[in-house]
Amino acid sequence: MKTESLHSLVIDHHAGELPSEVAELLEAHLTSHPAARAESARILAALQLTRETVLCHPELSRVPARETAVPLITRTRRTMPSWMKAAAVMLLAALTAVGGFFAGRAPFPDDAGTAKITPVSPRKESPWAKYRMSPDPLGNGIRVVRVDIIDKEARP
Amino acid sequence: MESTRHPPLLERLFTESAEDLARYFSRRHGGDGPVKDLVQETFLQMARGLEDGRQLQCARGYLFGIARRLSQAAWSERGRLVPFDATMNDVAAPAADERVAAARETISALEPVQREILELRFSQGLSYAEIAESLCIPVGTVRSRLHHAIAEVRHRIESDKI
Repeated sequence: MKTESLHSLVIDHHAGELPSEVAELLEAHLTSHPAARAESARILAALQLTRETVLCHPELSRVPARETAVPLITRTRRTMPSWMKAAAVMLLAALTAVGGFFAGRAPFPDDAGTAKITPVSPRKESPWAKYRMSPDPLGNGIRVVRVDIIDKEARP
Repeated sequence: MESTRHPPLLERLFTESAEDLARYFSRRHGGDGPVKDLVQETFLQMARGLEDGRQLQCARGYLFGIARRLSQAAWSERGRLVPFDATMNDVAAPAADERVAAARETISALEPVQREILELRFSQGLSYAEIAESLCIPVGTVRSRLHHAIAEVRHRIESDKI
C-alpha cells in the first residue's frame, strides 16, 4: 500500500468515515505489516497534534467573512419592456414596407435583362489518347483502335 | 421557537446541538451574552428555513452553516451585532509545547476554509458530510483538505525534527 493511501485511510478510519469492510481490511493490513503499523502511528500522532493545536488555539478558526465569502454572481438580465418590443417590430415592418415601395417604383435600367453572350473558346485538344473498342471482324476477340490519331489524319 | 410544523426535528436538534453551537460561537467570539443570542438566532433561522419548506439533507450541517454565516456577519459588523471580547483575539491558551507552536504556525498558513474544516472536525466533531453541508463544499473537498492539513503538520514536525 502506498504511503499516501495509508495516510488517507488512517485519517478516515480515525474519523469514523470508512465503511466497515474497508476498516476491517485496513486493520488486517496494519496487523500483518509492522512497517505500515509504525507509519499509521506517525500519522495518528500528527492528527492528534493537529487536533490539540486546533483546540488550544480557537483564534485559528476566526476567519472574517471577506476571506471565505464566495462571491455571489448576480446575473442582471436586462429585459426589454413589452411596449418597446412592439415598437421595434412596428418600426421594422414600416421600414421594410417603405423600402419595398420605393424599390418597386424605381425604373429598370435600359440594358437590364439583356444578357451578354460571351464567346466560347473552342475546346482544346485533350492530351489524353482516345481509344475505341470494337469486335474484331476476323473473330479474334476485341479490337482496340486509337481514334484521336485517325481523327487528326481525317481532318483537313 | 416559531415553528410548529417541525417541532420534533427542532427539539432534537436543540437538544443535541445547542451546547455545540454555544461552544462554536464562544470559540469564535467569546463572551456569554452574545453567544446565547447567536445560538437563539441560529435556531430561529433554522425554523424559518423549515417553514419555507426547505428540504434538509443534513440537518446538523445546515444548522452549523447558519451559525457560520451569523458568525461571519458578526465579524463583518464588528461592534454592532456582537461586542467582541478583546481578550479572545490573542492566543487563548499559551502553548508551552514547541510542537504545538510549530503546528499552530503551519495551520495559520493554511487557507481559511481549511482552518474552518479543522475547527468543525476537531472542535465540534462534525462528520465530513456535515462539514460539507455547513461550508457548502463537496464532501471530497472536505476529505482532501483535512488530509492535506494533517500532512502539512506532519511534514513541518518531521522537517524541524521536533
